[in-house]
Amino acid sequence: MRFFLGLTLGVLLSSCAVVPAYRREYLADPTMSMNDNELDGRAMRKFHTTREGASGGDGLPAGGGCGCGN
Amino acid sequence: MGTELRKLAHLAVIVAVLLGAGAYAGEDSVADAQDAGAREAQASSGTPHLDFMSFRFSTYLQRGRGYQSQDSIVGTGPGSEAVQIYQPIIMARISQGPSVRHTILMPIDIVSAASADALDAIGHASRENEAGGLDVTTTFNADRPTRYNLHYGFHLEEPFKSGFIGFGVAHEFAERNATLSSSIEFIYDGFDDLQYFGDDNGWKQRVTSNVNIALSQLLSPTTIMSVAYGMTTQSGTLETTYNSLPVETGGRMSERFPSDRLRHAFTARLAQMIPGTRTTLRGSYRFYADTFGLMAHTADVQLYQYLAHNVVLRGTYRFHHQSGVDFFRTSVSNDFGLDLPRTGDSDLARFDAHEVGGGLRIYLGNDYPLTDTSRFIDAMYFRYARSNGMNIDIGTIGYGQTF
Repeated sequence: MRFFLGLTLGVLLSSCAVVPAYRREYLADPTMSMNDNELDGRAMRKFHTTREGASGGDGLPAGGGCGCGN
Repeated sequence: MGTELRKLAHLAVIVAVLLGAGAYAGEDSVADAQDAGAREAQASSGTPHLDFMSFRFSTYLQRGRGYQSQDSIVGTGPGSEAVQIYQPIIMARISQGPSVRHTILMPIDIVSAASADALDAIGHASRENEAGGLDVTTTFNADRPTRYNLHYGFHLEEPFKSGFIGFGVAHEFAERNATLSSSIEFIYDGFDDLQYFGDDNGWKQRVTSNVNIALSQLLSPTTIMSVAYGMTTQSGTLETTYNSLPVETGGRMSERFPSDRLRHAFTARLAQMIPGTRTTLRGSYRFYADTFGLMAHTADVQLYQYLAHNVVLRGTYRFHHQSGVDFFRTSVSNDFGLDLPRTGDSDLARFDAHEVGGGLRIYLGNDYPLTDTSRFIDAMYFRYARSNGMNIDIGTIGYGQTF
């Protein structure tokens, strides 16, 4: 728990460093997207959710919406 | 089920017609491209416009054995979990004026030799099962620092129906260097209470509620990080009613879960580009715990390497470890209490899972710089292997078209 709190605090504190819009060329590259495009992300999320009882919960519900009982 | 699929097919036709209208609007907009004034007028008019559409076809070839299955069992041993799944998915992004965006997903699963999860476990009326649904996210104020989105849809799967609705808000601050987002979602699942020996005990249901909060932050011109926390509560009939597990003296007993479950997940992600070599490294770590006694650690790393300005090679590795639920067992005694929780489901057992994969994506247009709506074609292969004997080969091809 301390690790997660430290991580969150670190991200919050680092928000003091501002990257101006004209220096975001690399950040806009598709490989830098924090979410896979909707198709890739959905397919793999469902794959893991239906085969691992401990999947989900990261952005969408963990469980529900499928007949798998997970 | 046939009726449900016909309804789904009708819905697919309606959506296709809507998308077709969007595509027609897209052709119009190209024709008008020389007239910036006309284009701006269309954008502000609220006329739906199909911006991007992609298609993905995936196959899953699964082999394994689990104590919840009674397919091809010998004595009190585990049953077969062999299954083949063919999964086409269509996605469309539609803009409606300058600030409303719709993302529509239509997944269809065609499951063959569904020994592990479908009704073939209790009868051989069908060795195939189909599932489908609709998943829509509508974003409002898409061009402004504070965005709202609505997530809604349904899923149909024999003998199961599900609907969901959610609401989210995201706010960019610190000169759009950081985004704080939160969402809430509700899922209703209803299904026939089919038992492993074929009885149908009527309609059962479960309700799932989920709250998420996430923060993403630009750390440098080449680094992005995000952290997220999600809490999910479930109540109702949580077990898969036709799953069962062996009784030591012979025969089988239905699995049973507690009627409530509280689940927590914390995720951290980092993406780093190395401009000199045109390499991107992405990684994530996820911690999970729930009231079934299940704890898990999941980590993955992904490497993207540009081989040319429009060709990207991808490699990925994912590791997942879970502890197993408190009430997992491979068999029960003859006098095991009927009200006590129990499962032999291999998905809820203690295991490690390794997933290795890779693929190639080629961007086909002349877009520069590339975006996540650039026209592409790709192919990928993944191998998923669990320490409790399940192996899955996954192949997928995709195509995306800008309009």
